[in-house]
Amino acid sequence: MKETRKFIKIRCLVLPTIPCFVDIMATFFGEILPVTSRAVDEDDDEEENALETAISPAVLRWSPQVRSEIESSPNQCLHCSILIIAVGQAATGFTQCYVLSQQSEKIGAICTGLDDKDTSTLSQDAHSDKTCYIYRLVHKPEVVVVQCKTEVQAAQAFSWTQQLFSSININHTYIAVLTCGSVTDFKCDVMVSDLPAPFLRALKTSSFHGQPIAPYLEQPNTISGLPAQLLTHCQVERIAAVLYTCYTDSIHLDMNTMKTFRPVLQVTPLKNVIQIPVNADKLMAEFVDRNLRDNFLYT
Amino acid sequence: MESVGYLYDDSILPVIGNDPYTQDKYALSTACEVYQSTEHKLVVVQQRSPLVKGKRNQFVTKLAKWLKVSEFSQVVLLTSTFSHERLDVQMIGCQERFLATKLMEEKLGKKLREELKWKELEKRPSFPAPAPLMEQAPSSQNSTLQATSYLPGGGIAKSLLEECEKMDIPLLVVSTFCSEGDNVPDALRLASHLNTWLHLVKPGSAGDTSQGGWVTPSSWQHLFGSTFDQMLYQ
Repeated sequence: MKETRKFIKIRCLVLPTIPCFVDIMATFFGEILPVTSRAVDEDDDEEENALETAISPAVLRWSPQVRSEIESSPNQCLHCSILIIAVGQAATGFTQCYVLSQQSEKIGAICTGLDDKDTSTLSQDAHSDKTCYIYRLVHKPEVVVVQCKTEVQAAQAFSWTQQLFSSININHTYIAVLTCGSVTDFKCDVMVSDLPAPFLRALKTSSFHGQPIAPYLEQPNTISGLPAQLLTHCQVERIAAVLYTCYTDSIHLDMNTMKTFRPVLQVTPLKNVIQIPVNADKLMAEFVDRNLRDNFLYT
Repeated sequence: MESVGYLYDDSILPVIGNDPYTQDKYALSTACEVYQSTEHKLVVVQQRSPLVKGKRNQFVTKLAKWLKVSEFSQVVLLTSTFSHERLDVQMIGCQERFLATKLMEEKLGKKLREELKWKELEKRPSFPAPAPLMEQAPSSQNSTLQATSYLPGGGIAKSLLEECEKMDIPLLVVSTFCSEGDNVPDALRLASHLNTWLHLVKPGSAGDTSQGGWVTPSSWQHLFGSTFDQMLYQ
């Protein structure tokens, strides 16, 4: 366990715990919905469940060329000055159209396990592609983009993060995590129907001294899963990083949601290295069309 | 209190957000943070998310090792347990109960019971299942009817108690009976109960917004979702 400071000799330590597990609720029409409960079921035999629910750790593999670059570097890490990690459909769609549309090459992959029914195309065009690929720009190899289209389980997020950050030199690197959520999960004084969705919110680590391009995420909203793990790692290790999350009211991928991330490219240092492509709208329309086609049940 | 560090481990599910205690400034909060008050000589570990399934033992072991190395003179674990599992005698009166390791019992047992009138968690026969309390076990009964502490919904409380007992760490578990739902009154009641021993705040001293001397965090708004359109129901 990592502690970051020494404590004075104290007379008392207080540890409040907030147990939680997800229960199942049946609705009137028969569909089963998950219901979050903050109670903990202690009847589970911890040891048996540890074997049954063992989560396989994430595995990172580099291309042969990058592997030899890393091996020959002084600190055994890939050098990069800009690292963008896109998590989810809208964020990966945005980086695909606005950043990777410039010449890019695939340099690695982070695997977290596939079900038998999952597909995995190297071109990452299929809606059901479930791997995380790492790219860098051919003409600006210091820009590295991680496209995470698969749902990384929260229990795997720690090993996923460790694998990535142990192989990339992230000191003095601009790190941006992009993610997306539903506006129905956003809690505020305003009614959901009156919120100007889609909109952007930001969180940053203490070491990030710049001002994010979006307002800070208001209480009591939180981020969980892989994006949260990435930022937690940076906060604990005192690394500068910023997270942008887009809240959207669309259940399907759409151009408006992806365009909400555009202001992120207008901040330093991104604006100096990434040119917004002139055909960005066309690329986004094609991307949306490809994903929408796969969403229709009856075609 | 001042944030002084983090407990960062793969057994804790990740969650982040803005500073939960004030809207006046920005600070990133994480799943498990450590706060310190030099005035009260107090350290608080705030765990905001559940543990990864199957890794509870790992978390408890590492936490106990850290407690031992840090040499806290007293450790208190605040938790809750299902109110629907209460015995008849537990349904009336004080809803808080305590459990203590041997070391803590020697230090504080008499004060908690006699001076503060705190109640120790009633023990129950554990075999074949946790059962209602028996005042006296009949002499003919099987010796497997061992009395045990039953804390359903108590998270790591029992595991940590056992681990701290092994490692000679003075741990006191303070639990309150509650149900699913709005647990704000339960939390305030538990804090006030703890305050009768630790005297961290003066009851009623924190101003009009206080509740028993406590100030509820600004992040406790919208606990059950945002406002909704009233027209839906007309």
